[in-house]
Amino acid sequence: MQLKALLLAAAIVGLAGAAHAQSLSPMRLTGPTPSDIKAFRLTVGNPYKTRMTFLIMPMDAQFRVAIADAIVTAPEIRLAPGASRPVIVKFRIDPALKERTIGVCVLPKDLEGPVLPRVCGTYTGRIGRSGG
Amino acid sequence: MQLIRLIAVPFMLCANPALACGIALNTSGILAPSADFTRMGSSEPGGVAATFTVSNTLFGGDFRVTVDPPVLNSAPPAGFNTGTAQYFVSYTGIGLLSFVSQGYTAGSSHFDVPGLLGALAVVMTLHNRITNSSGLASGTYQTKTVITCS
Repeated sequence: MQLKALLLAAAIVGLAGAAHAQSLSPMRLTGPTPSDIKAFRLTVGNPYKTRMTFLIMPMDAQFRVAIADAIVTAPEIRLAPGASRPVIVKFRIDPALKERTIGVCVLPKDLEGPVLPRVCGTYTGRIGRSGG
Repeated sequence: MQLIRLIAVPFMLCANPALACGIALNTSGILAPSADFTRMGSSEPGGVAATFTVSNTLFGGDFRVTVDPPVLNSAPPAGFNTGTAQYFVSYTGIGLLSFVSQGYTAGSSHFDVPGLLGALAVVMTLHNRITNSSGLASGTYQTKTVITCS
């Protein structure tokens, strides 16, 4: 019984005491574009004490599915503790719809453990005469 | 007056109230089996909860934290009936987030983090649970819970 209990016990190890996190700013933004392409400049930060690699993933607006038709200038970045870096996210807007909202999620790469922390924002582009 | 205005303008340009949040994993948990081997969880005797930190790095805006139910992060042990398995998560906050208390749920749930959290960070306690009416097979179970700040 003891052995069985030991075998059943799931050891989730390796991260005790380590802080893994990320930040994304701004987390909501709307802007016009004169064409059917809209780009946003976002800042990804590592406010904690460990050097980490982050993935920047374009998602649907509910953060459920990765979308392939959006481009991130740096889809994978490695940040020193306390460092931040801008990335550009660019996506196409259907001219018939004139507006599109996408999600962008920042998540740590190769993070083992019971929690996958994500920070996600939504970004809306509108086809219009001014701005870009 | 002019000097004050000149100084004030660049300062205002810098004071962009951009919102940023952070989710940090602090400690991993440990799952332990129930006495009848139909349930495994961090709140069972011998189990340990995981903890994570929620922070709002700037004043001035709320954000939402969504917690998805856990999934198995590795192949289940042989003999584990995935068809009868269910996965649950629960979590509680302390301090400024002491109003957050989610009992075990198999669905996504969320709570809103007020902007007044400021540069402070709040530790949350997280439990995972696996139930299986067919019983648990011997082996290692590892769960993963997606926590989204948006």
